[in-house]
Amino acid sequence: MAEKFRKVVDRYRNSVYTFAYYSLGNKEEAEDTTQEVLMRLWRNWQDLKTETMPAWIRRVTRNACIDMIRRRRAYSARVVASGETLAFDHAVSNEPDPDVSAENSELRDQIRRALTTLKEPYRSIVIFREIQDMRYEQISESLDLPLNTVKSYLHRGRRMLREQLRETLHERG
Amino acid sequence: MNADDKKTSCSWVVESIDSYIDGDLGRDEMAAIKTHVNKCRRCREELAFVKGTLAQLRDLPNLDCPRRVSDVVHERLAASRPDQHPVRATVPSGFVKRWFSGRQLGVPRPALASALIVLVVLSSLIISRINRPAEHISPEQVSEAEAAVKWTFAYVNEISRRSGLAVRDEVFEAGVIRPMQRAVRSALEADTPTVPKDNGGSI
Repeated sequence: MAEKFRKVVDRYRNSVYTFAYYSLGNKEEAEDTTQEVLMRLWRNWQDLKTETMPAWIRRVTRNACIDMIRRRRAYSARVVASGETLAFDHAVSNEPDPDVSAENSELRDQIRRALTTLKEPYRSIVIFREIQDMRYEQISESLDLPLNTVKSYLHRGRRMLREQLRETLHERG
Repeated sequence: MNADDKKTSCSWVVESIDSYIDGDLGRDEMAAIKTHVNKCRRCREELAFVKGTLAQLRDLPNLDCPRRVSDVVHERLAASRPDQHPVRATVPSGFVKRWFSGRQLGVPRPALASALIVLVVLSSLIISRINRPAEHISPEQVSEAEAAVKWTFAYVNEISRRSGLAVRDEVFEAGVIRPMQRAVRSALEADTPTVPKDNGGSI
């Protein structure tokens, strides 16, 4: 059983981490979230069926990211309320994207940042579809949304992303 | 505005641009947008912007999760018996429940039990040493007791970390901290010269 679990972890850890990274915009939080998802996977191991496992993992990953964002907001609110200065920035990392060439890296970096500003479920749908190349059916199953809703939310999410990008580009002149 | 006029308006084209790129429109609508874009510079630029950002978005890499992330999970697994499910195999007994809080993840009961035994034995040892009159405690014994306390806490912390359990505060409070406080207080009182009470000569 442990061997099978290890194989499943090896198979899904990169996709969990990728989703968490683009959702949270921060490597450390993405690592913590991935670990949390893998631990939840282990805790629920005996109740999960092989055929529903991928959708379960995507759903749990998304929920874990939402939880992480809530915790981050609660932390920021506490710090602001107490009048302290943030010792370190919990929000989106300023680091450039890993594995991205210098060419176009600025625009990609802006896209990456704009992604983190999208609301749910638009953010998750854009990441699943456009970065992780998932089929509409897979997204629909993972988020428990009708297929047509996924498509219309995807288009709305892409529009919001462009609006955000335009704002950033406009601010930078 | 009739349906055909609508299909040639810039606002309709911009509205439909994502569906156009994904090929989700009917043949007539696809053709109408293509014709409009060929004639309208603003919509052509908009289409180029949309396609450009989408290409960049789709080019964002899928990332490799650092190995250490899954290693931590596997380490926790290794601490449990591989043939047993961590939750079902080690459901805390009433005894463990009384002593620990949190959810047990993977440490078998013998490890928890041994942690508790070490905690209790060492605590008793330390308390009995502190209870001796001050003049009987050498500096070596004090260092030894300090080291024992540190070791005990480190051991229990490690067990807690691995198992996802925390020793209940009230257990530490009642079983270790308060007896130690009492012992230290009484040792200090024994060491402090006190003025004898005037009992009026009576025995």
